[in-house]
This record gives sequence, C-alpha cells and structure tokens, in this order.
Amino acid sequence: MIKCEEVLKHLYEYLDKQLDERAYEEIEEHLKLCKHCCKHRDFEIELRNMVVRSCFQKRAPDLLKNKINRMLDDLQAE
Amino acid sequence: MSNENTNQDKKQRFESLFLPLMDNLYNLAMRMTRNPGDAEDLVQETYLKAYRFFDHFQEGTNAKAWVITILTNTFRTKYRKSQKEPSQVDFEAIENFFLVDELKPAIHPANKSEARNSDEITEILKSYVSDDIISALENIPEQFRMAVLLSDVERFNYQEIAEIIGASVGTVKSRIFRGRKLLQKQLYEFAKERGIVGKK
Repeated sequence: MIKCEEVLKHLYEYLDKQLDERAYEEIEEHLKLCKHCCKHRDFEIELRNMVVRSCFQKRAPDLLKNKINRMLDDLQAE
Repeated sequence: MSNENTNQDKKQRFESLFLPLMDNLYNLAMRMTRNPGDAEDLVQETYLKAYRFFDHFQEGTNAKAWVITILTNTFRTKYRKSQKEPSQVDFEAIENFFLVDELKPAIHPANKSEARNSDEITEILKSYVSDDIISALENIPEQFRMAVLLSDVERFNYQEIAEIIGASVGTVKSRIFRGRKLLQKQLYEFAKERGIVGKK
C-alpha cells in the first residue's frame, strides 16, 4: 500500500479528480484503512466548502446590472 | 430592417448566455481586484469585450470559460501592475504545511482521543468566519489566488484552467497546490494573532 506521505502529496489531485484511474484507486484503498489521511481529506473538503460559501456571498449590484444593460442597448444600436 | 433584426437576435443570444453569469463574474472580480469599484469596472469591461468579440465565440462551447478568459486577461493587463504583491514566497516551507495538524492540539487538548474526525474538523474551522477566508484569499499572490478560485469556486478542471490563464497543466497544478497551502498558512497566521495557537 502507498504511504501517507504519497497520499497527502496527491490529495488535491485526488479531490479534483485529476488522477488516472490507478493512482485514484490506490488513494481510495489507502483512505479506507487510514483514519489520519481521512481527516486530511475531510478537512480539505470542509475548508473548500467554506471558500465556496465565502466567495458567493454577494450578488452583482443592481446599479452594475443596469449599467451593463444600458451598455448592451448602446452596443446593439451601433 | 433585417440588419436591426440580426442585431437584436445577437443581443438576445448574448444576454441569454452571459447575463446569468454576472454574479460569478462579479464575485471573481471582487476577489481579484479586492474592491467593489474596480470589480464593477472589470465586469463591465469584460461584458463590453465579450460583446465585441461575440462573433468569435463558438456556439456550443463553454460560455463561462470563454467569458472568464476575457475577465482574466483584462484583469492582468489592467490591474495587475497596480497591485502590490509579495515578491518572494517561501514555497519549500509551505509544501508540507497542514493547517489541520497545526490547530488540532490547541483546540482539543483534553479529549482528543475521543473526538471523531468530523467533530474535530468542525471545531478547527469554527474559529473562522467568511471574512477570514476572504482576507486570507486576498492576501495570497494574484496568480495563486486566481488558480484556487477557478478550481474551488468555479469548478473548472486543470485543463480548462490552463486554457483560461494560458499556462501549462503542470503550472496550473502547482499554482493550485501552492495557492491552497498559502491560504492555510494565512489562516494559521490569523489563528496565531488571536492566540488560538502558540508560536511555532
């Protein structure tokens, strides 16, 4: 079985689903048996969820929407 | 008359493809420019360019990737130079930095063996609010911040990000890795300032 060190090194690629099938399965197998690496995985997932929530707080301001709508009207008329 | 109809049709197609993406573009622009005024200008300029280049957009391809490529390029040419960025980052030191390991002992001193993983993680992250995450993100250098946002928030894969920012997949992978590590290091610094962890 691959070492924890290897798993942690490729954890992001694993979570981003950017590994080939074999490397992916090796990490899956390791995670089934290693609580330590599972904690790292769960932490990364949770932190990422926080990043996503934090970055989607605001809607584009209405003023900006209006400005862009007006701009598109002008562009169409060109 | 027919020309007018064509223009109207073009505008309608443009609007249906790109207006629903305005919140995404605005939030991304906010994180990159770090202030609402510049963010609005960046989004508006992105729409202007997108409309002017709309004839080059291939129907059926990824509209979000296309318009974000325009935003990224506009940001780079217009705002990057004016921003102060740390010139040197010690990457060796961050490659093996794991926030989860750094914060654990300070928060679970007594019953750490009993705590389940999920409880422990919730405890560790509970001390951070959205504004902390945003400050931490905004403190990391622009090219790493962009890579993390395109991956974590916009959910592009490495190949798509490579095309958007005009870099190799290897570069993208390394920027995402380092960007996420820099984010954790920054969050660790916040924890240190608040006395949640001892000095290392």
